[in-house]
Amino acid sequence: MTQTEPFTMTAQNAIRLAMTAFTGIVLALSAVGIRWTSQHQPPASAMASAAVLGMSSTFAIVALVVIWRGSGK
Amino acid sequence: MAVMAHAAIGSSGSFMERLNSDWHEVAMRSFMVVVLGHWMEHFLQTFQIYVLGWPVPQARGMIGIFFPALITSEVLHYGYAVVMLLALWALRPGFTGKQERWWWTLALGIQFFHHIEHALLQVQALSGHNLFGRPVPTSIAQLWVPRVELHLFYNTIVFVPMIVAMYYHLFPPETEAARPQCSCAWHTRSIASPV
Repeated sequence: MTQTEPFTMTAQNAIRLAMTAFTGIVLALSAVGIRWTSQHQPPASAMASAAVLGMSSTFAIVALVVIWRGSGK
Repeated sequence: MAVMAHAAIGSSGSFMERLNSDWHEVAMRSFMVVVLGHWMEHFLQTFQIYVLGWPVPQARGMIGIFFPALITSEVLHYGYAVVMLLALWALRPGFTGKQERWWWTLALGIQFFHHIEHALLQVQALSGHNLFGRPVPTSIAQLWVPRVELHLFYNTIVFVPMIVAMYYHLFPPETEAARPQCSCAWHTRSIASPV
């Protein structure tokens, strides 16, 4: 049987949570951005904007996974 | 309890050696404040457009509302890109671990391309001749992506690897063999098992 370590508020976890909040902001901004650009930009520009906003979100999510998985000390 | 562990820090050496040892912590903190502040300006600009519905030319972030020249001046944009590139390069030797160095170098590489884009804009602004027959200075990626979204993207994909590098720099993995030269790392290694 495996046991899960209880979550404690260390400096490491505080930084992880800050990164999680940052990722949340990037995701929310990208979501409203994709919606806005689809309504206010020509189709080709809107598609390009959606691509870069999507890539920004992907970068942030990858970073989030890395720091939550990262062993650290 | 995590404690601030200070590795062997020298008080002599060249400027670059000191920047990457006993000054690294202060330099990194200062740099992160500047970079985060700059990213927040881009965030606010897009928030003003997407959420508040402001016209794009009126969306100038926070400081740009009071100092519009900060948004319109290509010199300032290019200057910031150069400062950012130099700081990423100058502070890189302080990242002695394998993973932290990899992520910091990724940020440096992306910022290098970002800086080239700003250099192109700067040359057009100085010469008065815009590329591709456009009415305003235009960078390569701007041929496809509108400027606001493009530069939010650039600043995000530079900032994100910086954060990961900083994370590994503050909390080096146990498997990391390289010993830090600076006081940035938070760990208990020096108490548990002096190296």
